[in-house]
Amino acid sequence: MIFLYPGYFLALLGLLPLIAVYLLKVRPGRKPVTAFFLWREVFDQKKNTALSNRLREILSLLLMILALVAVVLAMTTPEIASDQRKDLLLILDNSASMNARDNGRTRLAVARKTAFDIIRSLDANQQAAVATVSMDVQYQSHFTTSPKVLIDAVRGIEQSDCPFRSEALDTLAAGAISMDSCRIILISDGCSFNADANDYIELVKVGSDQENIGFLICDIRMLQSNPVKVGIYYKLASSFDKDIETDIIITYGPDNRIIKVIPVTVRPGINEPEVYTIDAGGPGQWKASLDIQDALANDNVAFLALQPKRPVKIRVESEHKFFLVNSILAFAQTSGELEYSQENADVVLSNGLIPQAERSIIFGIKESSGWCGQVAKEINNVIAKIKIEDHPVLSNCDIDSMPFIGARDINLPEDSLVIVETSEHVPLIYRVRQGQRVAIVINMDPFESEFYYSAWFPIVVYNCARYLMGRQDTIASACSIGDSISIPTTQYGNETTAVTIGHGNEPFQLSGSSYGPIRKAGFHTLENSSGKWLLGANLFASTETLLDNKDVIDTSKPLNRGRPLSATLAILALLLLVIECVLYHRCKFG
Amino acid sequence: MLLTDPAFIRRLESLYLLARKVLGGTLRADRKSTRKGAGISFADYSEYSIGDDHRAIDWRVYARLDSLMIKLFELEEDIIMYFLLDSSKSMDSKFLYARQLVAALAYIALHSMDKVVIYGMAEELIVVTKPTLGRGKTLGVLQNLEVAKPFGVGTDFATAARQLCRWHKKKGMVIAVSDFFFPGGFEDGLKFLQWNNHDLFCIQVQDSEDRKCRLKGDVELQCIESGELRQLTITNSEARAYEQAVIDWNDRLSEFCATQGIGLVSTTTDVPFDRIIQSILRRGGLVS
Repeated sequence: MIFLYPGYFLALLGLLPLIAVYLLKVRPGRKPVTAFFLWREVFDQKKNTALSNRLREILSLLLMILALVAVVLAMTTPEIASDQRKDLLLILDNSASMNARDNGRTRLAVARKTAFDIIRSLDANQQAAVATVSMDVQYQSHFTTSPKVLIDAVRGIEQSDCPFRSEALDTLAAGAISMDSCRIILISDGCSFNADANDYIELVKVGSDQENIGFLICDIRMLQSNPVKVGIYYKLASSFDKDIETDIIITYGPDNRIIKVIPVTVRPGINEPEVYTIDAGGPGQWKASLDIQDALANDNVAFLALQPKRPVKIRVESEHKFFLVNSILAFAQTSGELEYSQENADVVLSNGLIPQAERSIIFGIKESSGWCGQVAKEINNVIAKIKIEDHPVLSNCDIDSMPFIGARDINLPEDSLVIVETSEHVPLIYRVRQGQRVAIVINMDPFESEFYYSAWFPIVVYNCARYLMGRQDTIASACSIGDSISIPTTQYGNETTAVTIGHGNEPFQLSGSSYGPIRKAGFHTLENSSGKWLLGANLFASTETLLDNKDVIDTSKPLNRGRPLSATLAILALLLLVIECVLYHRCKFG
Repeated sequence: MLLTDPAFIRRLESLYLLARKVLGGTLRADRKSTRKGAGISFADYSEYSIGDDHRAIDWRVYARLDSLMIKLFELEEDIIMYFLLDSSKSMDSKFLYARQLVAALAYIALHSMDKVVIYGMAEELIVVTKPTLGRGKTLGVLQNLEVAKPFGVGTDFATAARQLCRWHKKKGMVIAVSDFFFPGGFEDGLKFLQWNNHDLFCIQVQDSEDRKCRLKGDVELQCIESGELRQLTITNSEARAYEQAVIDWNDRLSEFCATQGIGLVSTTTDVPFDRIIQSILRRGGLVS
């Protein structure tokens, strides 16, 4: 124990006059009474009065001595731990695993209490700040000496659905926090915390090893639309030390209609994935729920969104349609993602003509138009050069094997995006926009180059059609929290999407073509001009599910916690004085 | 107020006038002698026996019945009123009040031609006023009472009673004015006086401090008579216990007097003394 102000021990000299006053024994007032013999009856009922009076005098002196000593000790400001009284950055882990219950309380509740204890022990000159960490570090308060601000900040911390990412703490090392004057305290269960890489962070461990089962992966897919067949793929993990038999309840729709109950035996650790086929249901919301009461509830439900089939309807405009139509039918008959349709088409596939549709795929440009500007002579010995790597139009294509025979020297119109060009910068594949209309122009003659026979021809058509409809990235039925997804859009990043999380919540507006990182588990609905899309977000993190913090070591250095000892001593002194007051009152007024 | 003060004497005169009106001028209105003897009021006839006064023989009855009968008359004898004024230290606060009561009763007695003797009572009896008779002695009696002072350490009522009986063989009316806080009890003294054929009347004088405990907290109680000390913490329960003990003690005195046919008046110093005397007179004098 150390004393911050040991000079106050001199105040103990005050004991001398105190004891002297008590030793002088202030006798009670003498009162003459006429019927003394009647008072004897009262004395007889209280035979121990004299002894108790004497004991009370000693007790009274003892109480006053203790009260004075407590006050003096409080003035010296004792501290049990040799805390250097540096400023503190308190980081509370609010990741999903902190929602696990230990002895009836969540780990986050325990972490909050620990934070309160630390905040209460701060002295008047010590600053602290509060932050949370799960996927990233978020400050809840600035550095302050005000315990109220800090306590309010801790109280305001909410449980996150996100997994813990140790890398998020790397930002602190590069930040403006001076390690000489500030200690970084992480209050966490330590699941997936990398102590070696973050040795400047002191870990205050909360929670113990718990038994839990949860989904690590879960996915759903339409195997056959008529009759309906749905495939469910799942992978479980367990921190139990024995096999656990339970059920997975599969429900469908917003009203959670039970479709199937799958009995499962979950082995300790990460289990092998399983596949199950269900002959019911359809596109929409699905849930897979583990029927078990365990430490962590977050990973017991998997939210799955089975996407409906939305084929891109394509019309063909060409003098020779056969190969063009077959390129569409190739995907219509297999995955069903394209559909040949002469009416209500989403996209027009043309060869040698200038289509007027909103979205077009144009081969074999021969004359000038808004899509190509001035068309000059044919160019030979074309060497294709990809200008935008990984563009969706080029997905799964080998550009080098594409014969750009019949390509012409084109003046690129305004608002064009060149994807592939020649070494002389003649555009070979480009996107061009005219107001609301958009087209992908492929500068070659597929007949002359016999590209119709190439395996890449239907793939290029497929890619272009999906790209024009903004569906180049399929939305998975289930994604992990922390993932970012591409929003299907036909506006190429200039669109606003309304996002609704869960049911009955107010949507918020999102700009751009990406949504994420996703932070809330549950169903997310995205709605924009290209359609309405459902998304299932899930925890899916083995470190969170297994709750394994057996080997995590509390690395915190001595740190004052709880009510300051001086405050406790002051309260004790007050209590002693109250008792003494009661005794005094009893002496004076009975 | 001085006992010889004219204003006080006027109050005594008023009480005497009330006594005359109510009781015919004597405190012993209901206490006429039951003995027969020389007097003027006819009482009864009795057969003549040797030694009887021949003058009392009723010759008319002899002529009619041929037997000697003598007339009996009510014996008119003067009564002695013995006042036992508690003069112990416990009466300090009540001594003036007690003396006023004694003075009033003595005044009426003297004016009724009764003999009055007043003793101060503590461990023993001390004469305040020797046997006195007649209205002319009233002022002397009042002066004696005025100069009387408390004495002694404690009160021994039984010893005082024995002492009175030893000094005065003639029976009379014994009036004890005291708080009756006798550690040795009051029963022995009263019984002894009764056994000696005295008529008894007790006037219990207490003050509010005697009956109500106003002490609280740590106190050192001192017996006002013996000087004995005792420390005590008085809480409500102790105060209640003391007050109950006083009530029990007073009840004990009341019950004893009622069973023994002894007159008793209890009062506190808050009540004017003449109201107590009036009360005694209206009840029929010094009767049980």
